[in-house]
Amino acid sequence: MKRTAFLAALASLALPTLASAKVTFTGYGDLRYNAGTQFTLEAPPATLTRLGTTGTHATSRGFSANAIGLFASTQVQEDLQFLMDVTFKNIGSSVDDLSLQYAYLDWAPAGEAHVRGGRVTVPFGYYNENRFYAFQRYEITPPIFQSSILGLPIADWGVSGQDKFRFAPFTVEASAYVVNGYGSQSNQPTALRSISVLGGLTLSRNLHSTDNNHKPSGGARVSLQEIGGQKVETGLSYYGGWWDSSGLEPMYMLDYHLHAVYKGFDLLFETLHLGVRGDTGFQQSLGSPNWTTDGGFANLSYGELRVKGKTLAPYGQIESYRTRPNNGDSAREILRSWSAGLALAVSPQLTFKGEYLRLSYMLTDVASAGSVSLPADIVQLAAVVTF
Amino acid sequence: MSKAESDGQHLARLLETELQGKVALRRVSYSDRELADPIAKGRLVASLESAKLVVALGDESSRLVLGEVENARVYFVAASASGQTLRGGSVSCLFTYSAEDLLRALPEKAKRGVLVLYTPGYEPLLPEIKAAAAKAGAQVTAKSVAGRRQLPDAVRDTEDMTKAIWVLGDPILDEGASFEFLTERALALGLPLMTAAAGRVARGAALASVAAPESLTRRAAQAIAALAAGGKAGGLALAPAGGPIIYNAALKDRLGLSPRAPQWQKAQ
Repeated sequence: MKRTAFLAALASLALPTLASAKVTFTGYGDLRYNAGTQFTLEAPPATLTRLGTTGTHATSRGFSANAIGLFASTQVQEDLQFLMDVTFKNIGSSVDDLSLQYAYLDWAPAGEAHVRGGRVTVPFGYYNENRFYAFQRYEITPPIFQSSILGLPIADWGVSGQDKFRFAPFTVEASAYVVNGYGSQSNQPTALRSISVLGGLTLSRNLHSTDNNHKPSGGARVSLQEIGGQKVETGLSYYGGWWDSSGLEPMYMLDYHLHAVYKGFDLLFETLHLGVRGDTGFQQSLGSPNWTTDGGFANLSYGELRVKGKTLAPYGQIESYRTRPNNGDSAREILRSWSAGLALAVSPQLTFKGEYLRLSYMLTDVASAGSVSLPADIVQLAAVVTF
Repeated sequence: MSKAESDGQHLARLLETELQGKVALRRVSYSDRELADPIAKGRLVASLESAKLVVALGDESSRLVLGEVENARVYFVAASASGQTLRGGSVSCLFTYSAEDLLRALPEKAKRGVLVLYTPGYEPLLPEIKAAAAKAGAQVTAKSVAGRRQLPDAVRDTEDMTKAIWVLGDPILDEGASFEFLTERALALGLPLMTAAAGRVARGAALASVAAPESLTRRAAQAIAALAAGGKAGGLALAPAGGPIIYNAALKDRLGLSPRAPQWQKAQ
């Protein structure tokens, strides 16, 4: 239930300001228990050899901290904040990943307008800005293509601007940005995506941002919000840039999103169209350096169920993405997943989650004339705490 | 929208009207959802910490400010709690209840022995309470209570003389186990329990007072304007008289309360 109270901050020249801006720290922890992961990697010997890996059937189980994040916020002046997120990820016996998720100055010149500069979360789609963090969503596992291959959050060094325009039956939110953009793999300058980056099969963290050339990338998003006074939002997003070091090979993305909340049901639907040219990395698998990915995901949850006064939210999620070469051949990479789970909010700061996920990944590798198949079943429990 | 939300909005509008052209105010609103989001909460608290003066309207905002804001000057309006939890460069508070209204609402026999319980930090209210008692024809005895553990003895030591109990609103005394003890004891002794927060009346207290929004915001605006001019706001103060009395209808006959419309309102 929404509760609103009001404060007023006084701006007056008569009172002295504080000598230094105070930094406010908040944070979160996403603690996991892998109750059972089973996956099978199957491919012909020639394909496995080319990808530098071996076929396997593996199971795993164990505790870990998926992410622990610290947010820092400080008011530099009345209309200017500096915001930062440092996240420790994939924490087992050591920290595998230390990320600066975002770090930017946020200027609010007037009304609902914002101009951000630094490492900004790119206003692309809905999920990226509103569901990336574990405390922003019920599900444990975000859509795998967006999170593992595209890489969530989509954040980059640059500048973004946003404003809202309120009309009677709806609100229009418009955003635009200029950033460094996605770039090639560090050890393969002509490869944007490659599933054998490190001499082995690499599916996740396949795309990443890098200041690869003299041309910035950019894009925009337009959303219709509060349609008819209801919690309904729909929008279109575009990203475009050049990913290779010469600045000649394009990459673009189009995204459509629909988010609706009605009588406790929360539906998010997002589709993605991704187009790339000149990618010699993925060419070996797809048979062409020019390829497109089409797909999307849908997430449905119900947040009005109460058990002893606590919210118990069932949810389900499905996704499907296909990548095909632009030479007319059929899709060579197919990623599908579905998951279902429950989230129990025992307090505003603590939520327990349980989830089953089924992943199906298939890649037809043209270079070795074979197919990689990776089905996986994952059962997880999670505790998400905010502070 | 809940009553607290609509009351908060109403106070905000009145305050903005009173201060229009005199002091620049920026309204900040938030929701439970934002407080549960550490990013949104961090941004909210950071903006409050940097303000030259934070004006917290009502108990909900006061609790947030008390819990999160450390360095900014704070002026609480229509709060029911203050006290030793306040730190930093604050603080002034204009409480939501009127001493004169509360004391006048008591039955005559209860006026002869009002035990005022308070925690350290509330001393500045005592002169105003004693002055209001003189006007209302009441006799008050003020007793400082350091914490929850001292509460039972503070009540029992004066039971012979006590005809009514008034808790000045520190959450240490006005919530949880302390409040349950006070309601049980008051009920057992047949004494009216007066409380700072109107919400407590439905949970066992007998009486509370709520300030009339217009007179409250007028006084608050004077204090804020004084602060803006570099002066002092005057520490802790109680609301002016003339607002509604909230009473517990289930205890009316037992305690000899005499509701008088339209000022008296049943607790919801």
